[in-house]
Amino acid sequence: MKALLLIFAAAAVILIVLSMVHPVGKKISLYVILIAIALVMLLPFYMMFVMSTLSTSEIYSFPPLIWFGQNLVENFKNMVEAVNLPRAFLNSCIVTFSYTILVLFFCSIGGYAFSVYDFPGKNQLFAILLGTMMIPATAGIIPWFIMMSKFGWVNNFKALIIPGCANAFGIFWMRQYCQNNVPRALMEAARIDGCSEWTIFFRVIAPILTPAYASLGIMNFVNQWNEFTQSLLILRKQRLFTLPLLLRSMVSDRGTDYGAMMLASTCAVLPLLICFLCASKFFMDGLTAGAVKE
Amino acid sequence: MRKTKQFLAGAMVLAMTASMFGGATMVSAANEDISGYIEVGGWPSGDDAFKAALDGFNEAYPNIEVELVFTDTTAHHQSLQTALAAGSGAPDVAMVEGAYIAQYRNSTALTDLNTLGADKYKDDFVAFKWDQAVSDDGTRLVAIPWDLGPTLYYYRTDVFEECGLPTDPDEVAELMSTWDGVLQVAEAVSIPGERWFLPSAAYPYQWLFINRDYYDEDLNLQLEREGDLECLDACLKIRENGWDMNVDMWSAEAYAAYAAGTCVSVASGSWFSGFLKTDIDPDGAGHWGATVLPAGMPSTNWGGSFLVIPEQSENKEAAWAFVEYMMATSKAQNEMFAAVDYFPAYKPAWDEAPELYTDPDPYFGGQAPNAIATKIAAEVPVVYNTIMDTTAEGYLYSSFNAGAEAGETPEQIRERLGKDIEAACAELKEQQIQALKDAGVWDGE
Amino acid sequence: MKTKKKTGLLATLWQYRVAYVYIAPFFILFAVFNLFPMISGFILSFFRWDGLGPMHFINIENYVNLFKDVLFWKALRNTLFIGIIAHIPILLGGLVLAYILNSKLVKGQNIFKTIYFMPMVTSSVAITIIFQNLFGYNYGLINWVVQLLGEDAVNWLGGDGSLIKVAVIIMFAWKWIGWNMVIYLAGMQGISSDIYEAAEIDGATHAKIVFHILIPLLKPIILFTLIQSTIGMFNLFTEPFVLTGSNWGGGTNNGGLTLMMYLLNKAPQGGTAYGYASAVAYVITVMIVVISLILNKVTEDN
Repeated sequence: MKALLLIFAAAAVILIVLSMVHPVGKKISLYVILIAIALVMLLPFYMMFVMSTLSTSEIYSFPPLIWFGQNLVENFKNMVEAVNLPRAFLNSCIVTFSYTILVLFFCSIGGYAFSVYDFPGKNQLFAILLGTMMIPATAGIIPWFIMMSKFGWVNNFKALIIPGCANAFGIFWMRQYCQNNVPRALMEAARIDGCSEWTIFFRVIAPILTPAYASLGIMNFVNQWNEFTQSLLILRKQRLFTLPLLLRSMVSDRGTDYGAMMLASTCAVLPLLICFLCASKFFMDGLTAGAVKE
Repeated sequence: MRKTKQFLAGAMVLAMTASMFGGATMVSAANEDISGYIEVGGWPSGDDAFKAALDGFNEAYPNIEVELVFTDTTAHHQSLQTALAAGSGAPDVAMVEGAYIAQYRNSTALTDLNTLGADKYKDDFVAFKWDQAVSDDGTRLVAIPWDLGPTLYYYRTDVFEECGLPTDPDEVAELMSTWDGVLQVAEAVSIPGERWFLPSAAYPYQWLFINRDYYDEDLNLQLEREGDLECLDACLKIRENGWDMNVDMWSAEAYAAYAAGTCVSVASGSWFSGFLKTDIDPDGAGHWGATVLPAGMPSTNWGGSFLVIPEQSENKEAAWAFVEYMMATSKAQNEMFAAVDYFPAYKPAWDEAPELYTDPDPYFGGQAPNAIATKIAAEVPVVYNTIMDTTAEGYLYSSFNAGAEAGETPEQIRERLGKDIEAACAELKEQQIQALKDAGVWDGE
Repeated sequence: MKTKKKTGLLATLWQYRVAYVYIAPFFILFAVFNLFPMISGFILSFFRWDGLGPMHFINIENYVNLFKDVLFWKALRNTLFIGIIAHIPILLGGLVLAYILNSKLVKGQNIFKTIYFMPMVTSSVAITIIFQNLFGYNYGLINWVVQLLGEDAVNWLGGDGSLIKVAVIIMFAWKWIGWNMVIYLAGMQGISSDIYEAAEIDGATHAKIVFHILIPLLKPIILFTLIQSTIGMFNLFTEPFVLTGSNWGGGTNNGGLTLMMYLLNKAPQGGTAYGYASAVAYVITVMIVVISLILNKVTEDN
């Protein structure tokens, strides 16, 4: 343990010294830190890819194998035999895309209204909205489920899409963006031109909100893509499983085929990662659009 | 010969069922009166078991359509519990694991199977198991026992042989009949840091409690067992010498070590045979052995499951037909036993196909673990189970580890365990008392 | 009189109908899907109910028992400890990373940003298994490195339970640092780059820019992330639960027992004490609200 800490300390000292002596040293140490953190972030992903090419006994061998193995084909066979990955992928897409689209619609009109209109009770309503974010959903899970079953929404994607599609976080996020980026003059001009409020929003405002749509969309997409607790209660048929449920169903007390499971995880996450990396500029611009400021 | 016998048994059961429902007296191979769709929920490998016996069921009830909805054990119980509390969304037939049955025994959310005619099977099932499914006031039966888990001690014969130890079950049992013998074996097989005797030194102590009889009927914690301090003493020695892996026996690390032969032994219910054969160590035929628990520990039962029919089911008739066929016919029970090693709680099945129980098992190198399991099954006492049992069980492992880490004596560890369990089970105990009061059988304060 | 008031209200609603219609979806969905469960949960917290049998009104006994339970206090201590320590790298690291990547100090910002955000994209099922594997006692990658350095293997997830927190903190920080970085980056887009340039010309160090310019300007954002982190801290469950091998006690000496684990252990996942679990949920809610108010006050005063 001590040796490990010593190495860390030594590395830190070297970097500090380096950054103090010369501007180039500063730059180098900056890169070293950024790359080191990036490596830490990537390590679990790397291990996931590696494990998807190993057999279960290779995964749990010592010393650990940290390079790709020969078992990919075998794992693939086992995975295809065990689960219907394309189906789960499709289910995840259906749930996540419809959820995200609804979130974007409802949250943008809500946030926009809180930002540009003045109406009685505005501040109180907004405070209530923020307050709702603080209550853990777990408190009402049984009544919630009772409700879902009364609506006939058990084993139905609606239960995962509708209840959360106008969420407080999204409205907060859109309001902050609108606060800074919606030009009142433009709205006035449109009003004078005789546009209805509805047209103003869709023709004039919505295009301005594109960066905020991108950021909120990505965040909600990511959250819904990985949602597990509610899906577990609602989706009880194999053919309705979303990816997290499918992956979980591959883990068993009886013994898990970790190689196949890791391959399935890789298949589940790889499309997203590739999208992210290829379009990293677009995503990051969207994600970090100046949505939140006062 | 065997086929006819099975057919006859099946036909008799069918005749009984038929007479129950329609007053029909005709002995027929197929019952076409009961129809509809039922959903059967559970966890793997219950689905493999049902698939093995489903052809027979479809022949007997051609008009019942069965869908199997399976997920992992924890998730299954959670969604079952939620659906029962919510009043809808539960499957028509659900598996319930032995550790959870105490939660359900008084539940009116489950159908009283006596009303469907289950009472006539009472004597056909192993008594301690049947008893667990009867409500505290003795009037209702909420579940039919599926399988037992006679506790077996599994060991790697190849490693034992390599270390110059006997491999025959009787000889191993003889050698390990005292704690000294156990420690001798532990020392012989262990290479600290490379090969270990057990996944965790906490387990021999847990074996004393694996009937899950932590509380007596007045809900007093009863931790003192015959020989428990000697057992703890041995556990501590195993830990001190580094003869255990010091990980959970259900962890991926432990599973990999069983397969690799680096964790040499483990004890579990006899259903663990199925785990070994199909999932943990499918290539391990010939290097596993199984015998009774060491050091003269009493015969115990480890888990095993039940089938229940939720009250909310809309097709109880078909659901009961399924439960009855799967649980109370020797044919189905033995087909499922052969498929996944779920040891039938239905006693007639044992005589029906004796070869399943006494013949040497090639996976176990010609030993017959099921013969030992049968013997153990007959010796398991009827015990009192409560809803606190699973929580208490979790602490056997962690309190032992905490005590061992703190360098405590066996007495101190037992005391610590008592405190930990009482603290963690406080609210559950209140609930248990409430349940007993509701059932009208609590005469405490 | 009454009717007049009503028409007054209706008139207001009509006058501002556009705004009300726009914000209505949230309030309607909230009232339908959240309010009812929340209120039922609150009522339930005064009952003893196992989810299957009859419900018994027991006044505030659940709350009394809760405060008497040593495990509750252990869980609270663990949650605060893990939450506070983990949020040092999450908040501070997130801020520093955002600052570096927002400046023109380095190239390839987008690649770094994407990599740091990647943990958010992954399903936790696979990742928890990998972390379990990394921290494994006998076969773990980390212990392998430790042993290469000539030390004894560390029982991260077992032992006396104290190191479980370290593992949980690492895993938690790994997942959330990128999220906070993104939120800070979003906030920084709103700050004109002129400010940095002016400051740099004045010879201000980066530390000065961060502490004297950036943090004051980002105060609302920082407050927002702090509140979000507080909520996240009280919701901490999956990481410790999986790392301790699905042990509801949180491992040896309850080392990894968090409040959310304590709650879920009562119901609906671990047990069936629905009334008690509801009481726990409301105590947690009150704590979140109080901490949020305090944070609000503190950031206002500065």
